[in-house]
Amino acid sequence: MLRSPAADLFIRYVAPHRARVGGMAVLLLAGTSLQLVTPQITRFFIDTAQAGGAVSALTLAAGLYLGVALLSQVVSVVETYAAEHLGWTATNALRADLVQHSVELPMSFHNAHAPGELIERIDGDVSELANFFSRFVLQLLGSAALLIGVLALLWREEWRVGLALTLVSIVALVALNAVRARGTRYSWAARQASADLFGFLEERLAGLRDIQALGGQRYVLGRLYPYVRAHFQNSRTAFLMGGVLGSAVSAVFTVGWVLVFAMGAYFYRAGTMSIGTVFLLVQYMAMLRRPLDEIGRQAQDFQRAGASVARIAEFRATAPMLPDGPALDLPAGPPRVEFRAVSFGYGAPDAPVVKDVSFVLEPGRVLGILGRTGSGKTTLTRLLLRLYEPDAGSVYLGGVDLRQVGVPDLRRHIGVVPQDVQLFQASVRDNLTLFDPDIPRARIFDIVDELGLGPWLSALPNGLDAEIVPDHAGLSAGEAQLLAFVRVFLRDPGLVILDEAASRLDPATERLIDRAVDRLFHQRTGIVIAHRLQTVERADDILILRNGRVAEWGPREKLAGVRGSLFHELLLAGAPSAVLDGSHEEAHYVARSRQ
Amino acid sequence: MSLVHANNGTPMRRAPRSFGTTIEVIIRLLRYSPGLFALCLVCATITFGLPLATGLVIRSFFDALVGGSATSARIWLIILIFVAIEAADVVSGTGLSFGWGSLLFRSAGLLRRNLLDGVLRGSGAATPLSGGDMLNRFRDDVDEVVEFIDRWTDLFGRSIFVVAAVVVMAGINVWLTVAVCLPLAVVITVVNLFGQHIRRYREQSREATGRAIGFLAGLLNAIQIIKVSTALPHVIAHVQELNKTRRTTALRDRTFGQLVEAFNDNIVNVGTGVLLLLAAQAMRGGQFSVGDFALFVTYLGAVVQFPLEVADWLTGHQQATVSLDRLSAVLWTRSDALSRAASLVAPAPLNLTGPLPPAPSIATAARPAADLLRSLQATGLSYCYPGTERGISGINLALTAGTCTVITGRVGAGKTTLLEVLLGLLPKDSGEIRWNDAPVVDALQFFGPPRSAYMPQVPRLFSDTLRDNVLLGCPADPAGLDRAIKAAVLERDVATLDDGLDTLVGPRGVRLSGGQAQRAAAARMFIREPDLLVFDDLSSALDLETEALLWDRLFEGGSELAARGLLVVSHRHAVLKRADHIILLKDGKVEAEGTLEALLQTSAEMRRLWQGDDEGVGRRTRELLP
Repeated sequence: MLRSPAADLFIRYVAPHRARVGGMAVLLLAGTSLQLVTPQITRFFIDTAQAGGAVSALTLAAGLYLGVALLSQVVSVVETYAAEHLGWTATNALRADLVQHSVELPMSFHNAHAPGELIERIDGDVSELANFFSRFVLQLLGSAALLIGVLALLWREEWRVGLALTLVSIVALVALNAVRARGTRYSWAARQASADLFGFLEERLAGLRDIQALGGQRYVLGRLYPYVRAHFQNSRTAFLMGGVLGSAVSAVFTVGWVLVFAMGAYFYRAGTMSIGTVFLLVQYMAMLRRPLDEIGRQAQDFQRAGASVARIAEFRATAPMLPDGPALDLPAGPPRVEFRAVSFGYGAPDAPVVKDVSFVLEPGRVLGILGRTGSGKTTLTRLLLRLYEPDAGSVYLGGVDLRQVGVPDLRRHIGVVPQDVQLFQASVRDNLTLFDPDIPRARIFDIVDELGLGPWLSALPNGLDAEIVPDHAGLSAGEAQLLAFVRVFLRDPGLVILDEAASRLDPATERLIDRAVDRLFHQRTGIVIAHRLQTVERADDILILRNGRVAEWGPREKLAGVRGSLFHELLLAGAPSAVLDGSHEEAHYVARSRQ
Repeated sequence: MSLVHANNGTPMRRAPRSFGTTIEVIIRLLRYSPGLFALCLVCATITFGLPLATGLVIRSFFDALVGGSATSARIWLIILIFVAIEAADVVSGTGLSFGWGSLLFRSAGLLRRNLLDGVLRGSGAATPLSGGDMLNRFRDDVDEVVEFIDRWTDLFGRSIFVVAAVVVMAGINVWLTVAVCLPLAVVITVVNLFGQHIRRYREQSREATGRAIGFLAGLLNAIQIIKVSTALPHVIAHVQELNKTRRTTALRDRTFGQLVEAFNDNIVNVGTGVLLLLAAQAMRGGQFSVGDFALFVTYLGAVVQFPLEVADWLTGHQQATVSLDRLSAVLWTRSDALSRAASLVAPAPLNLTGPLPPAPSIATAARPAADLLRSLQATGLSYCYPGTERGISGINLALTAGTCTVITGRVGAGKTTLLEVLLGLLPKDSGEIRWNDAPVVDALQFFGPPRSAYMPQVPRLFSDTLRDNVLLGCPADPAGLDRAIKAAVLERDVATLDDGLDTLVGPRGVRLSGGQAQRAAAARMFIREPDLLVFDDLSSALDLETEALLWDRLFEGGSELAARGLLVVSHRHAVLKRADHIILLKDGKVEAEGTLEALLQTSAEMRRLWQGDDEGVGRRTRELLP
């Protein structure tokens, strides 16, 4: 079944609130009927006054009119509130879904899209939809009801007037549609320009220190101008299109007015219409403008929303990942890790970062991965976490091909302490538990104390409830790394990966958490990534990577004892670059140890 | 009307804001685009004034019919005039759309440009705002301010119409005019009474939005950890919670505004009802003709808009004031509220048309020899993070050109804070800084190339090519670029990248490895050839070899860089050994200082830090050697 993306969104997010929508529809129809009644009262009033009728009748008519006016006031107020509420409820649901979707998108997507740009998609575009969700259909129905009501009453009054104004309304609607069709393109361009502008700004604001400390202020400011210009030009064009829409309707309406005046004068002078009826025609003519304007306004919003809907649909259509396989269960406990002839590159297929890597890590053992920066160490762990899919070969965890494991299940088994720790603007507690409300405070305190973070925590004004503002208020990168340790301790995974996890800690602090880390590896499989030898002290096995290939792999004690092994060389030389580079005379070691 | 911001720990008190500040700001904003503003005023006056003519035409139409004086020619003349009025309306309406669209987005452009300029000039690092929150202010608060301009043109056009309309109506029947217009005046009063609420609602709403967006930005920067920790359901729950607060506050804020609007749509009917009630007698007696009635009804529709226009203006003023405050908070300078707000609307070129100026480059201007670094001193430097007791206090520091000073200490000792306060990235609470014995007044303006360059602990790169990231505005001199790349030990990486220096590094440089990004940041620093190089923990993402190579190249004889000053945060042995002077921090204070030898003898803390033995082989491994 084919459905437009807009209808799809509408059904998904508004349908759950059917009852409220129904209530709003009733209110809307009531309001419409009240509006249709008022000109009839005025006609009675004028004709009675012209005929010198009783003052009491006139006063009664006026009172009735006032009552109807006040009642429709109340109706519209209630309707407005209900619509706003619905709009927010529906858009919030959509926001949450888009956040979820964006997290589920592959890292390759995030590497190509700036956070600021995504914010525009998740929040900016969705905000444009609030009206679409809350009012669009109802207002369209309400306006249609009013339009049809007015025309029907006109037909009843005098069929020729009814026919004329029906034609005028049809032409006005066609004009609206034509302009709107052109407008969507401009709105789309305007929203894209806006996303680009804020994408640019978000990155620069995040890198403010770097820019300031390097004297890049004028340069960055200069780079802003193209974005501001694109935003200005596209937004203005889109805005102007909105104005043209209004003018088009006005032009068509002028014809309608000419017809009303001409026909009103003709029928009055022919004696088939009272002056009150002519006034009634004028009032209905004025009233006709309202639903058409409303339809125009909704069309304009729809046009804006249309651009947003298209962008949201495009965003939602971005495939999250290769589909999960049959979702085999991973065995509990420390898993076995195996890489079989794995190759992978981030972009160009001819420039793989990891080349033909094979190794096995038995359950409960710790593997130390050594290599220069950029040699592919972190990439191996990303493949293991299924953040990326290998281009060739397979990765196995607990004997199961990762492609056959549900991704959440897989990641529940793995804990990572990364090099750069990301913090959220949220409480310390939420930052440690990653928003899991079920972790008891006592457990958090225990682990915080064990990692020596107790004094830091107790110095905060609200302890666990203190809010962390990322990049500010003096949480150092070292402390952030300690927080990341706490995160992993709280999750209790079977496989722990430390990716240069202590790189920002001073030696004194590192020793402090040494025992805690020993405990972390107890009865777990571990991977320690290091560019320093000392860091792999606790490893059982050693894997040395050079330019994405396995240069050497084996038990640490054995490698250390074998003269001529790369690891042995490393130990003797205290890590000379020549060994890791394998650049010149040491090349033969590499060749030999690859056997 | 002072504003209490929910941001805790704002160190300066917000000056009580006078009513006039926002107006003053808007006037300056309008003076930036006087032509467009004039166009808007003219078009608004015509657009809003035309109903005046329409009312008169309709009146003469009905009076002609009822009076029996209507010849066909006369009727057609009336219709012709009506058509002319409508034509004028289309023309002026289009003009208004054009003028308005231009004025709105041009003003928004200026505000954003000045805001970015101000953020770049100020100690933004000290604002208690996350990047996402700041971005939200760039986006929504700017819109809020410029939309207030709209209300000015509307109000202007409407005022002229209303005065004329009331004169015409009073000419027909003074008593009825007063009786119909008076209730409408009440609306203004009522809306005014709610003014304070509008402002508070708006503040709460913007605050909640800021939090939601701020969190979203943080989340999008932490995609990997969320994926890896399977925290998604909990994170979504948190997003929903934040958005719920946002809905509640926005409902209060927006519904209130919309209620006024809904009122607006219907009040014409109420006014007409009142008119009917009061005019019954006069109409029956013939003193008030059907034409008069038609004119009153026509005018009423537009006159009624006036108090709502005023109310809109007042609401807009409140909302713009809130937003201006939020924008000023981003600037974070020590100047007063008015001058901060004024700096937002200072005229500046926007380059909206014509050829764009070439990307500005930062040419290294010739400097007097007296300005070259000989010595740098800081005495009594103190800074406390707002709302906490963390920070540094009473730090003294002295270094001379050609020497290497290392700041060391445990996690959280205040090392980074010291660097940032010294360089002005954080505003010092007290203390004095002297460069070649001359006091530095504004550290933030003073430091930076060519005097100094700084590399933060976690350097940020931008979605650009590697070359543009390294240059960051420096003139593209190939030889200098090669030197900087080499000094940063990045030359081999450049050779292996797909497009070499033209490789796009992705948002925040994610396509580079951690070490590559750090060395790219080092190259970015070297290419500026500053007197003083300031590194914050360069080594955290580098393997020991690469780092050693980098230091070797830095200290290498004949290297121009060797003659410069070095200020480094590190706990690496290689660095500590090379230091001419070491400052050991503990809990934000200087615990000890001196040469490595002296410190190892006198300071237990230094010995603890040193014992880590981060070089070469650890004890457990050494035992394995045959």
